[in-house]
Amino acid sequence: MSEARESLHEALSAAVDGEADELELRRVLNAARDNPDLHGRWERMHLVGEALRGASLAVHHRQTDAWRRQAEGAAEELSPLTAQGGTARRRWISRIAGGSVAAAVAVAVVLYFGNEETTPAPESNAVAAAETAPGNLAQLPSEQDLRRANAYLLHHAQHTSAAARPAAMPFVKALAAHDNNARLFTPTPANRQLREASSR
Amino acid sequence: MNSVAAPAADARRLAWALVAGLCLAANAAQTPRTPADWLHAMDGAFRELDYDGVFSYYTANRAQQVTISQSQSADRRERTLGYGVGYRSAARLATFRVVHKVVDGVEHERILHLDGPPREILRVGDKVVGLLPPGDDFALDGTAAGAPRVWARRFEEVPDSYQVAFAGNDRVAARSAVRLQVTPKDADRFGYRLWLDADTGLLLRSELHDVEGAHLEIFQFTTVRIGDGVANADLEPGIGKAVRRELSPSQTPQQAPEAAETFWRAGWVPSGFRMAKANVSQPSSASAVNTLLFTDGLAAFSIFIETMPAAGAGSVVSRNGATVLLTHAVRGGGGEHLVTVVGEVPVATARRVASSIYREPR
Repeated sequence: MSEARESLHEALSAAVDGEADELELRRVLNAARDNPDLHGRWERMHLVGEALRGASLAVHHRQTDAWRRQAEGAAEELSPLTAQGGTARRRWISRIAGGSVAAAVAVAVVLYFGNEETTPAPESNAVAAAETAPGNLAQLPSEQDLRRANAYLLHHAQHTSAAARPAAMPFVKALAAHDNNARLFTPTPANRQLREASSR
Repeated sequence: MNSVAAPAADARRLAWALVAGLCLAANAAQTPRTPADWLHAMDGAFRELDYDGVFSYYTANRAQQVTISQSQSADRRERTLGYGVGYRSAARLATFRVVHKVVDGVEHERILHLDGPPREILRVGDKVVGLLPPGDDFALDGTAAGAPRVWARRFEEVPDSYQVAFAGNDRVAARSAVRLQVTPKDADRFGYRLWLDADTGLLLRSELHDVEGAHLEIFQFTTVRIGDGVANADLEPGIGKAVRRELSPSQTPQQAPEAAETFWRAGWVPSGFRMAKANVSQPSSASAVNTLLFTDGLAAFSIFIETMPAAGAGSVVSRNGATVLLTHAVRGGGGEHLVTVVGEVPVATARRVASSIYREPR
């Protein structure tokens, strides 16, 4: 298990440095949430504190429901001492604000792109309402999902050369997108060990 | 004497005036005058001019940051976990050299990736070849080569969705530039600032920004030579040990555009966006993918609809520069389907489009 612990540590460090990708971070959350042993170690070893030495607390901001649920879920799981998720958050914030906290340690980081805009209510569409309804998506994307996403990104980049770009841009964008996404599919040691840890 | 010389001098002056006038007229016919003319000139310049330059391409990622914190009371009896959500920027800069030359009416292009693995892409007309270091897994969708030019540039539609105006003169890559400001008329698309070469209309710098004015992408030549002086030798591949991969359309015979009509529709798209393409393709995966493509003349987004994979699919939302990608699931129309929207639009717009997808009853 020390491997798993180390990998968590690595992943968290990477996260703090802005190096971790979405998949990696989701694995961290998952690993900590689903593996009681890991989660126990996480707390006991103050791994989190070590990993985030010097990291400042992020500004509280608008967030998505999905992430609120996930983070609250993680908070509940991780902290048996606290009350329910929502109150835990308020208490945390008030504690930070009140300065009564001896040791406030920021933990895990990064994650999602976008979401800064609020989601408008879907257009009412008679045909759509009759024929189709929203389906379900799993909270966490698999590698397969990210591969598919990458393929669609490439497809779009190549088929649409926006006017305000050189003719070469589809290829340039494809190259840039490839390198941006390559990390997702390259099993870094941290990534791989995390995967093993979380599947145990 | 004077009376003799005067008519000759007048004639000379007249001749000069005529020449100057002709030059002005010729110049006026060539030099774009309205902002829309400049957009057309920019489009043509990329395809028709010979140029050799180095440009940088910057993408700003505004990553959402979730911070989980653990705090402990002073007496160590109580521990609390909380979290906050903020943003951090994760920018990316890539540098390329592009050599473009029209030889016997055929476009030749060579793009060199100057950072990271040495990659080159060579294009002659619609034929595209990638030169990649051994073991490189970069791949292009072979069906795309040459495709963009067919539809992407619909400048006549731009004024419906954007306001295009001059924004003064500037200097980029040691060349005089004319600045254009392209302002979207609503919040469903991004804005552009363009710097066009004053002599040729070639795009020297472009900035893509969101509604708050934050940069999403910047493209800029740092140095460029335009016109004469672009040597054929510079179009020759420079990588010695490389894997040569054909990326031309012929490489994917299984792709049959317009092979089947798609019955999937978008119930809502932002005003000004029109469908440019719709088809059902059979990519490498087993199931058919319905593709819908929309453009407002400058921006574009693609919608991919497929049968939900047996293993299900996860929720993905990512933004890379101006390009957003998100997934959505719809039930109905013969089982559950996975919808993926990719394009240069704000996240909220993409989400609204995704949630409006439905299947038309046959």
